[in-house]
Parts: sequence; C-alpha cells; structure tokens
Amino acid sequence: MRKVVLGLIIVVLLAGCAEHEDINMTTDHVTNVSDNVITANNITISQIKSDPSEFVGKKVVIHGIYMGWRGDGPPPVTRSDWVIDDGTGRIYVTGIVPNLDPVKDIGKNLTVIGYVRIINDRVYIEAVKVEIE
Amino acid sequence: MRKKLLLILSLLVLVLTPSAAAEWTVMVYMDGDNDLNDFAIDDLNEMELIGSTDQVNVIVLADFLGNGNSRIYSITQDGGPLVNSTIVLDLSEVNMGDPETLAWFVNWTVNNYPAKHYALILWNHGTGWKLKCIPPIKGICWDDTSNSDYLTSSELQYALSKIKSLIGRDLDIIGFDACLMGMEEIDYLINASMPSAIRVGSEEVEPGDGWPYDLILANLTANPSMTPEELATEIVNDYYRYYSSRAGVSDFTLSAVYVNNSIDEAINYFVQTIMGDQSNLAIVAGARYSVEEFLYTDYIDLYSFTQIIWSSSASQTVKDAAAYLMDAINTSIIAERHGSGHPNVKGISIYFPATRLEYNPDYEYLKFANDTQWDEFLTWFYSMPEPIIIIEGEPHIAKGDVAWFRGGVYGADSASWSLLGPYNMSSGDYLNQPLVPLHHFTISINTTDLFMNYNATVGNYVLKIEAKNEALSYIFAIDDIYVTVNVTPTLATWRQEVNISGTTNVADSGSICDDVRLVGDPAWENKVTVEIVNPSGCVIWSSVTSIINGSFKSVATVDPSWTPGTYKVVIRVDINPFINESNYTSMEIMASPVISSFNVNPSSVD
Repeated sequence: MRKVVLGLIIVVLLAGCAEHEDINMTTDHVTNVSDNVITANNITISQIKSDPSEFVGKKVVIHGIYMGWRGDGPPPVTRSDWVIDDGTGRIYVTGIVPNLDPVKDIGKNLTVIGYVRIINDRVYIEAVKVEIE
Repeated sequence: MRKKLLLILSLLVLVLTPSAAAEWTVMVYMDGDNDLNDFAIDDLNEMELIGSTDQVNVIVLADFLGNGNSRIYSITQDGGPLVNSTIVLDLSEVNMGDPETLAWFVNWTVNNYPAKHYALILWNHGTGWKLKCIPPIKGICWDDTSNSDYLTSSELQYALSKIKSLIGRDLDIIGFDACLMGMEEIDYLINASMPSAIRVGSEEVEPGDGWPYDLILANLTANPSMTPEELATEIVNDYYRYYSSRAGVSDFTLSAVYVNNSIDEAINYFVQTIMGDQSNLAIVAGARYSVEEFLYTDYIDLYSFTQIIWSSSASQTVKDAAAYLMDAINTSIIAERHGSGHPNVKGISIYFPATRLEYNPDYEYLKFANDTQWDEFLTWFYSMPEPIIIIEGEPHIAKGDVAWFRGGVYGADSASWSLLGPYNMSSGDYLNQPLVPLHHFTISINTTDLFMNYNATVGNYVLKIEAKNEALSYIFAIDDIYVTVNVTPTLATWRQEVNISGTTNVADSGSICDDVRLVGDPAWENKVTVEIVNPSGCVIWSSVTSIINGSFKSVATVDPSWTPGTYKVVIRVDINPFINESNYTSMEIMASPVISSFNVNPSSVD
C-alpha cells in the first residue's frame, strides 16, 4: 500500500536568472529532458580516434567495458582518468569516476555519455553520465 | 630468497657508497609500472634539472612499465630528455604494491643516505582509504606488472610501522604525489605509526604531471636547512604556483598537515552532539548538499562541512561542538592551497557518501572508523525516519525559458520527479523521471518543449518528487512545489547598443537603443519600460514602449544637454504586478557626445 508521508522539505527559491548560468554542464549529472545527443549511439571509439576533429565538442554515447587504468599511454587530464573499451579501441574518460575497482572490476559493462575533447593531441571523453550495467 | 638478495645488494651499496650526513634525504617511491609511466619519466627529468647536492639527497626507487626495470636512482643534475641519473641499485623487478618493498626501500635509503631530515613521497595513483576486502576500491601504488598489486591502507600502516622499527624514528614528511590521499582517515593511519610526521597530500585528484619537482628541489637545495614545516609549506606553495598558472586547471588542492592532532577527538565530540538531537538531521542534510565534494563524490571537505553546520544551526551546543572541530582542523593545518575550482576547501577530506546505498560498510574496519564515532554518525544519518528533500530553483517560468531545479534527496534509496499541471500528460519526459544522482540532481523544464510537444498551457503546475526507501518500505511524496508558467518575456540579446556620434551636433540624429529586440508574446506590448540613466545615476529618459514581439525600435534620441560619459540603459517588463517576474536587463554604453551646440537642423551623424 502506498504510504504518503509528510516530511521535511527545504525549498530555496532563487530570484533572477543568474543561477542558471552557474550550471556546470561538465561536472553535473544532468537529468535534462532536452539533452541532445548529437552523435548517434553507434559511434565507436575507433571512429573517434581515427578522426578526432570530426567529433571534438560533440556529445557521444559509448557502450563498452571498464578497463580501469589500462590505457594506451598516459591519462590526459588527471591521474584518476580511466579507460573504456568498446571492442574497437580504448579511450580515456574523465569528469566522473564510477564506483568500480580499477583492477578487479575490469570487464564490467558500462555506458558513458560525454563530450569528446582533445588535449595535447590526446583524445578523451569528458563524461556527463556513466551508467554501470 | 628475494630478501637475501636484497640484503646482499644493500650491503654492497653500503660499502660502495658511504655518505656523510646531509640536511635532507628525499625518498621518492615512484610506482610507474602502470599508465603513469610517461609521467614518471617526466618527473625524473624534473628532478634532474636540479639534482642532488651535498646537503640534499634525492633518491628514487622507480619501477617503470613492464618487467625488469626497477631501479634505485641517485638523482644527478642533467637537462636532457633522458633519465641519466646514477643507478645505484638495479633491482630487476620489484612489487611496488608490497609493503615489504616500501619498508625495505626506506630502510635502505636511510642507511645509505643519512640525513637530519627525511621526506618520503609515495608517487602513483591514489584513491584514499582502502581495505583489501570486498568490494575493494581505495589504495595507493598500483603495480600492473606485479599482478596489479597495490598498497592498501592497512598495508601502508604496516609499512610505516615497520619503517619506524627499522630506522628507529619518524619520517619528517610523508607526501603523496597521488590523487585523493589528503584525508583524515589517512592522517589517522600515519599518526598511529609516526605521530611527528607531516602529511602532504591532495584532497582532490591530481593532474597527471603531479608535483613540480624542479621547483621544489630548487628551493630545497637553495635552502637545505629548511625545517620540515618549511619544506612542507614550500611543496604546497610550489604546487599552487605551478598549477595556478596553467590555463584550464582549477580543481587542484594540496595541503600539509600535522598528523598528530586533536581532530579525531573533536570529531567524536561534534558527531555525538549532532546525534543527540534528531532535528539536526535536516541541518546535516543541508550541509551534505552544500559541501564541496571531490571527483570521488563520497569524499567531502571536513572543515567546510563543519562550518556549514556551525553557521546553519541555531543550537549553541552544536555551534560550540562545530567550533571545537574547526579549531582542531585549523591547528593541524600547516599549509593549504587550492585552485578556484575548490574555493572552500581547507585541506582535509573525509568519507561521507550521501546515501545509504553508496556507503561501503567495510569502512567500519578502518582504524579511523573503529576508533571514532564517524561511522556511527554516517549510519545515524542514513537511518533518518523520513527523507529530506532539498530543492532550489526559480518557481516562475516564462514561456520560452528553460528552468532549472537543483537539489538533493537524503534518506531515500531512489526518487523521481513529475511535472503535473493543467494539461493531460499520460507519459513523456515530464513524468516519473529518475533523480540521478540522488544527492545532486538537476531537473530541467523546457517550456518551449512543454508548449510545442505537450500542448501545455499557461498556469500553475506542481513539481512532484517521489522518494522511495526500500529498507523502510515507504514512499514519500512531495507535492507542494508550485511552478508557475507565465508569459513573461525573455529579453533577447542586444543587436546594436548605441548609435551616437562622438562629434558635434548629434542632437536628434543620434539615437540610443535603436535596436532593442524582444521575443515573446504580443501580450508584452506596452508593458516594456525603457530608462536611460546618465553618468550621475539619474534617470533622464523613460518610456513605456510599444515594442512588440521581434520588432526593433529607436527608443531615445540624444539630447544636447547630455554630458559625455557612460550611460546605462535599463529595460524591464512587468506583466503581472502580483508576480516578481524579475525580467530585467541592463547594459552600460560608452557615449561621448561632445555637444558644442544644439542644432535644430543637425548635420548627419556618422
């Protein structure tokens, strides 16, 4: 039976529009109904890495397996960047760290939604959402 | 067998390289046998820019990616891209994740490179506290070649205890050139073995480059008589100097802390005080929502959390307990610097997952958790009788706007939101949407989408949040957050700000704001007020305009009485006097009309 309980709610009503500008799309996990995934779901890491300029700044969805810190080369942004492998290649992910063991959870399926970025010729994904399957 | 080999090698080196006592021996336990291999080489090259001196020994146990390349270097000065320092021991391959290796390295170095002061720097990945049990996550010094072994918290504690027994003293500085090791749980662990040590580490993840060894060693070799406090402060300041000058890097932190402090005692007093009154749950939830987290979002800044509770609680008892903890933290901090991405951190993080499902009960086996009431405090928080929902946002949404609501749900396992209102919606993007992550969700409501795709109408809506707690078998619903969708316009961008000649005789040919553009409903007509404010702050022109949707109009003409200076144009719209629509915009324009005369037949303006 559904039980509805009156509890405590704290509502902060902010006047003006300035608050909207503070939204940090790169770090917030956004539940955004208007989120536009620019690229299709079937974009592969191989495609991204073979022609990064085509994808830089675009939002992609990558399905693959967690590879911990087993990347090709050094991590692009921080020492906690981690790697996803979709079968066509590996790419580093930054921005969100899944609650996984970088050794023992290697091979777990997950989905990353994020923006393709490039720094010092190294391509990576700045995640806005990571789902462990 | 391996121990015997190491012993023989140690004796050999002891005979071959006697060293007089220096001021400092800096030991770097560099685990590059993983994806950080390139950074290891970079950092060795940074060290070689300075090198060791008579007074400063820089000794590195470096394990590179692959097999058979574990070496101890005595760093010598060299400006080239290759690592050319003296290899004082070639160890073939060692397991850097074995606490015995760490203890052996420190003991060997202290015996061979004696000094007044010792700094040990653990260089690798880092993830804060960790127990080697299920599910394992946190630790330091991952060694890919050695079956991905790594040092757990308990192994680090073991290694430090063994080092203490071997060398008979505390290390002066224990540094972590690694992510996320600047936390109370780690400080507590160090304190158990080496209470006089200073911990240097980062609350946040570290950029790949890690510490700027060239800057640090340049300062240390220039002033080798630095005290441990001075060197620890130097490391923190050099780290800040290095990353604050780098574009795009703002989320960095580093702190130096006395591990022998009264923080644990103050934590106990603080959380016991908090737990004594259930009404404090809301204050804790508010503090957990507002406090700065790190990339691992279950780590929060301890001082910031305490300070928020101190400022938000009305209870003097709670305030006193919070102040006691804040004082303890302040006293323990030697140096702390951070980038603009972490404006409120103080130097010590602590484990505080926002929800019960994120909490790892293995934490309770950690020495810190075992000895303090912090884990009991977390359990108390997760066991709240009713969920607490925090919402912030703008309740009045204009047609054409995208509204954001941010908030957190505490004391529940999951939650969803729906927008209910004066239209029929049986499914879609505004019904039963999960709030993810639960403790820091963002809801966006796009009114254009509502009107275009769901035939929404103007009126009052209810943003309903439904929280579920499987353990307590209840559903908790909030249904009194009203969202008013009205027709208040959005002021569009300015296309051209001003058209004023800077010469003479501008008179009525110069106009201001001739390209104001507004978008919205025709209902805005005659509701737009435009004011022009002179450099003295006086409104010198005001008009309720008949600007309609999407049109452009000249709204003012330069008057010859205007003096040169900066003029402000203010536009406001007030459709409904009962609603504070807050649709207001202003801009400043530089107008320099040098009025020499008023010409009723002005010449043309540029």
